[in-house]
Amino acid sequence: MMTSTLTLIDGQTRQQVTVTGSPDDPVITPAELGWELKPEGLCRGDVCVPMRTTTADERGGLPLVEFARLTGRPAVVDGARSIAALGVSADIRGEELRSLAAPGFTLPDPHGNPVSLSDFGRRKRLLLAWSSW
Amino acid sequence: MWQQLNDELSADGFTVIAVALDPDVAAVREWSAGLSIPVVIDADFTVAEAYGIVNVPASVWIDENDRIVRPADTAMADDRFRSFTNVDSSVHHDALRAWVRDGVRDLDDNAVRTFVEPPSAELVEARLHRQVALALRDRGDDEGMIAHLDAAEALAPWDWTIRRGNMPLRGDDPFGQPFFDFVSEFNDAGRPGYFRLRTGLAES
Repeated sequence: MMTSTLTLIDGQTRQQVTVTGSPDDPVITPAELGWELKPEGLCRGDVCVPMRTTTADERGGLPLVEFARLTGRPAVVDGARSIAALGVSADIRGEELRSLAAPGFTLPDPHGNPVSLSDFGRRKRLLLAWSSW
Repeated sequence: MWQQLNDELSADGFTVIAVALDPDVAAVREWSAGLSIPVVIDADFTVAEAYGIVNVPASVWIDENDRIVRPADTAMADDRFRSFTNVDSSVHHDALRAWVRDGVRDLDDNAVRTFVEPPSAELVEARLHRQVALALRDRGDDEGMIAHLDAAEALAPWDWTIRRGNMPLRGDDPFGQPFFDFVSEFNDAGRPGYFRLRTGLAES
């Protein structure tokens, strides 16, 4: 079977994953993304998403679009350019925002050093979003 | 101004964290040279999305217990752009001082929930296209980058982080004609999808 690699963007991380199938519909191996195909469905740790495992091929592959749907992730898949991105659903973002819990983050400073929101814990903080554009 | 507010209120337990919605590290370095406040780079807008930020400059207030006590809001440093924004920047600054020094909040939790700006499904997808565009740019695939910037703009035509944020990636001047054309469109359309909370907005 023909295999190739696809750049998968997930938040701040980009990883190279092995894909099979046609460029229009790349097939991934869930294990590469920390998920397992079990008789009860698609599982990660104790969490399982029910699915008919017959939709997975005998090698344990799953179309990326199907994987995203099952795991509730919005996705942009450009198989022809061997690239895809997984996001967080608008519903989950809305729930998180309305919980009023400040989402934690770690981002690079202009010199590449990681800075976290929690580095300034126990203080009042103002996030100032700005840009050069 | 934000550095000044940080310095003025630092002893009261307050820090300004600048979040650059900007993939241009050199530009961020230039902008932030001489600042002592922490500066972080959110090139792919994941933190912007988590906080419901749809434009710059914008602020979010977070208290000592990691709670959002004021959602994303236009946060002008001064009144340079007042004729466009119609916002008196001092109202926000004074509210900030009252909160930091005296714990006085101008919005309660219910108001914060009303004003938070969760992204639409279309905006989420648009930002994914933008992330793909950035990765393709890093590969040197400009044609692929443009295709995904186009897709992002089709999905989120009124989002400033997409429309204006894309301009430097396209080689357009974000302070030039493409920007003014966008602003005209945006105004003609009734400024859709902008921050609901606009502190200091004049009633007019």
